[in-house]
Amino acid sequence: MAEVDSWSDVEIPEPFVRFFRTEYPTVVSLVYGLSGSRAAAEDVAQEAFLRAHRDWRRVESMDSPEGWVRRVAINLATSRWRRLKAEASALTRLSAPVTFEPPDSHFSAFWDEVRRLPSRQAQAVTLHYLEDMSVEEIASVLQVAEGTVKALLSQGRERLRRQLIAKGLVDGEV
Amino acid sequence: MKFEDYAREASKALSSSGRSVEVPALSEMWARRRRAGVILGSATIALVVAGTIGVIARMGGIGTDDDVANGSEVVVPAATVPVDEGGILFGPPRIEKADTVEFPITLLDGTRLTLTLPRSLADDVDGLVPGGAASWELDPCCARTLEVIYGSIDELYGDRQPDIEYEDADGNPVGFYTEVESLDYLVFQYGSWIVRAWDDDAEGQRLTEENRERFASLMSGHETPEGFLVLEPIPPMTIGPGDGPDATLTTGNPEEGLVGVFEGRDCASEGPSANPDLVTSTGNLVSLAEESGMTSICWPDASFFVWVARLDLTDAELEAVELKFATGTPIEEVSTTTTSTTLLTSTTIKTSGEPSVTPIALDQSIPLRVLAVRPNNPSLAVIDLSERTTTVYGPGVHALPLDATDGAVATPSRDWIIWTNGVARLFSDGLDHVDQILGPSPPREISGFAPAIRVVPTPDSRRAWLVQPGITYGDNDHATIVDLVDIEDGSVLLRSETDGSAFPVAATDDGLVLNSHNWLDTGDGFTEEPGSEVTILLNADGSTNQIGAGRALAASANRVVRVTSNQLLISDPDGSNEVEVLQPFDGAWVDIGGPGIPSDAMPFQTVSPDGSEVLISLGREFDVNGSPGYSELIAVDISDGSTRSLAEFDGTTPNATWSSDGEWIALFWQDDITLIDAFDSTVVIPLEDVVPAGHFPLAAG
Repeated sequence: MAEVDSWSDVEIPEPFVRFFRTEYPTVVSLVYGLSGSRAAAEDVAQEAFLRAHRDWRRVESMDSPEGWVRRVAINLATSRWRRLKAEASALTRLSAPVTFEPPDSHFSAFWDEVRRLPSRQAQAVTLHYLEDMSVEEIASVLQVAEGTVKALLSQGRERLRRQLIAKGLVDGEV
Repeated sequence: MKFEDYAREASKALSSSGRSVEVPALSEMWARRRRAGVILGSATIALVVAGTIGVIARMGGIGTDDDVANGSEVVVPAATVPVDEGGILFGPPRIEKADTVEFPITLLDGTRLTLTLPRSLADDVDGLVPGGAASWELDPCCARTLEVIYGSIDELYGDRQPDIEYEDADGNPVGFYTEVESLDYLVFQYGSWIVRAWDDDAEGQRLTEENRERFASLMSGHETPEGFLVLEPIPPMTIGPGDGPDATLTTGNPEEGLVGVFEGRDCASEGPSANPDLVTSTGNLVSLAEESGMTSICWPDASFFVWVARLDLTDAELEAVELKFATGTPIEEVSTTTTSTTLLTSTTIKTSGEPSVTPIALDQSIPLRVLAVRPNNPSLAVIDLSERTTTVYGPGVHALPLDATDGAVATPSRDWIIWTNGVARLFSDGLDHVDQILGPSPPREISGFAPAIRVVPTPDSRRAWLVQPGITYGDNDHATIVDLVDIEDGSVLLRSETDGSAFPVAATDDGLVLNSHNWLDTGDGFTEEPGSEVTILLNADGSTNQIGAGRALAASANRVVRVTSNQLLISDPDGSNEVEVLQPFDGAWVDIGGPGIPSDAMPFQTVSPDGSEVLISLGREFDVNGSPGYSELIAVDISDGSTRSLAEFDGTTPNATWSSDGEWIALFWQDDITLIDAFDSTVVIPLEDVVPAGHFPLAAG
C-alpha cells in the first residue's frame, strides 16, 4: 500500500474528485440498504472510494468505474471480517460525524426486509430498485451471469412481496 | 399500495436520504481514516505516545551477516523500535536464514507459532502488534476486543489519573479512564504492554459498574522473557480472536500492517477456500484480492491463515511463507542452529490450562449430556445434567484443532465422537485429551463441494461408520466412501464405496442406513428428483440391500423409520414387517421429519434408549417463508406405528432427544434447554441460559 504522510503529498485528479462527489451519496445509500448501519454506510463508502483513488489510473480506464466502486462497496459491506470489526468501525464513527439520515420508518421496513434476504438476492434487489439498474448492469456489478440476476431478482422480489403482504404494508395475497 | 409502488417509494426515500449525506472533504477523510487505523482493516489504533520509552535501536543479533551468507542462522532478539510519528513498537525476535526469516510469535492466548517469511517481506517488518478479545462464557454482556499497545500507561496518559480504579486478578491496579479520545477504557498494564478494553461493545452497550469490576478482576497477564504479552484470565473469562489479526507484523508504525496472522479461522470460511488462485509446490493455498491489495495464504486443514498486504509476491516468495506450531523450546532458549516445530496439520494437539466448570441450577439429576460448540472461536462446552455442571473447554484447553467443528455425536455408551476437517476423534472422558483417532486414514479428499464426513456409531457402541459423502451431480462423480472402524483400537473393519448421493442417517445392528436419490437439473441448479429417493442398508460385509422407497429419518437396532411423499413407514432393515403410521390428526401432513433440522443433523438421537419409540416432527401449515407455521412433536411406537403427542410449536419443532433413562425428552434452542417428562408432557423443566454464550448445541446423549 502506498505510504502517504499527508494529503498534500497526494495528487488528486480532477476526474476522481468529480467521480467521488457524484457517486458518493448513492454508494452510501446502497451500503445502508444492505447493512442497515448508518456508520457502516459512510465507513464502507469512504473505504471504497479511497481504494478507487489509490488505483485510480486503472479504475478510470474501466468501462464502468461506477460499477467497480459499487462492487467494492458491496464486498466490503458483506465481508465477514469487516462486520467483525465493529469496534474499529465504531471508533471511526466517533471520529467522523455520521451525516446519513435513514428514511422514515414506513419505508425503512422495506429495507429491513431486504436485509433479511439471502445476500446475493438482497444485492440484486437493492441495485434494481435503488439504482434502477438493468439486469445487464446488475450482472456487471455483481459479476454474475444475467440469468443468475434474473433468478435472484425473481426470488428476492417474490419473497419480499410475501413478507410485506404479511406485514400489511402492501396489498395482495400470499 | 401495490408491491412495486411501495418498493419504488422506499427506494426513492432511501435515495433521498443518500442525497442528504454530507460529502466529506477528501483530505479530511483520508486523514481521519489514517488516525482511526482502518486503512488496512486492522483493529489496531494509532498509538500516540509523547516521547519514547527506553528505546533500543535494533541490534545486530547474535551472529553476523557473514553467518547468514554462510548458511548459518542469526538470532536477533526482540527490540524496542521507535516510530517516526512518535511512540514505540515491539520489534519481534527473528531467526535470519539465507533466504528466509523465522518469526517465533507468541499470541495473546499463549499459543506459540513460527511464521516463516521470505527475506523480501521480512526485511520490511519492524514491529509486532498482538490482537484478541476477552469474554467470559456464561455472560454475553462483556465480550470486548482488546487493544494492545506497546508502552506504559504513564507515557500514554501522562499525569491523567483514572476516574475509577479496580484490581485485576493479581491485585494490580486497573484504571478506568473516561472520555479519552471520546472513549472510555479499562486500562491494564502487564510488563511493557498496555491492554485497553473499550467500555462500549459494537452495539454501543456499556459495561455496568459490576461488569467492569468483574472484567478487571478476571484479567491477568505477563510479559514473557522474550518480550511477548500473554494474557491468562481466570475462567470463565477466556481470550480468543478479536476483530482483526491475532498478530500483525508492521512496517514502521502500528497502522501499517504488512502481514496478519489469523487464528481460529480456516481456509473454507475466510481464506482461498476450494478455489485458490494458486497452490504452491509447498501446498500453500493462495488467493489474491486485487480490490483490497491483499494476498491470503492458508493451509487445507489448519485453523490459521495469513494475509499479506501485497499482491506482487513471486511464486518463490509465496512458497516460502510457512506457519507452524512451535513445540520446541521457548525462543529465549533457542540455539543459533535449530528450533523444533511441527506442522499445523499434526493430529496431536497440545493443551494447557483447565476447563472452567459452572454449576447448573437443577433440582434433580437427569442422565443427559449436551455438547455445545462455539464455531468461530473454537470452544466447546459439555452441559451435564447428570452432574449438573457446565464445563467449558476454551481454545487450547480442548484437544481439537482450532478449526470449526464439523459435527459430533454421542455414542450409546456416552462417549463423544467429534469430527473436524475430515478427522474423527473419540473422547471418553473430558475434551482435553483424545482417546482414539478414528480416522478415516488417510483423510478423504473429495471436491470441496462434498459435505463433511459423518460418523454414525453402532448401537453397541463398539464400532463406528465413518462416511465421506460423495457428490454426483453435474460433472462431479465421487462415490460415497465408508469405513467401519473399531472404536477401541481404531482398526478398520471394512472399507466400502456406494452411490455418491448416499447420505448416512443411522446404524442398525446389521448395517448403516443411507438415503440415496437421483439428481434433477432444474437449469438453475440441482435438486433431488422427487420420487427417486430410496433407503438402502450397507451391511457390515460390504453388501447392500434396498430397504424401500423414501428417505430414512431414524433407525433403532432392528427397525428403520422412513418417509415417502405421503406415508410414514416403519420396517425391519430388510424392508419386511412394514407398518404405516396413521395420521394422528385431520388434514394434510405438509412436512414430516425428524425434530429440528431433519436427518442431516443426526447427532440428536431420536430413538428412545430402549428402542421402542422414535421422535417425529409433523408440520401442518406452511408460513409465508414456506416453513411449517405450526408443528407437533410426536412419539411413534416403532413396532406398531401407534403415536402419542408430546408438544406443539409455532413454527418448526426444535431438535429433541431422550435422556439415557428414557424418562425425559430434551428440546434444544440456541441458549436454552427445556426438559419435558417423556410420559407426562405437562411436567416441564425450563433451563434458561445453560448453553454458554456464543455456543449452540451440537449433539446430546
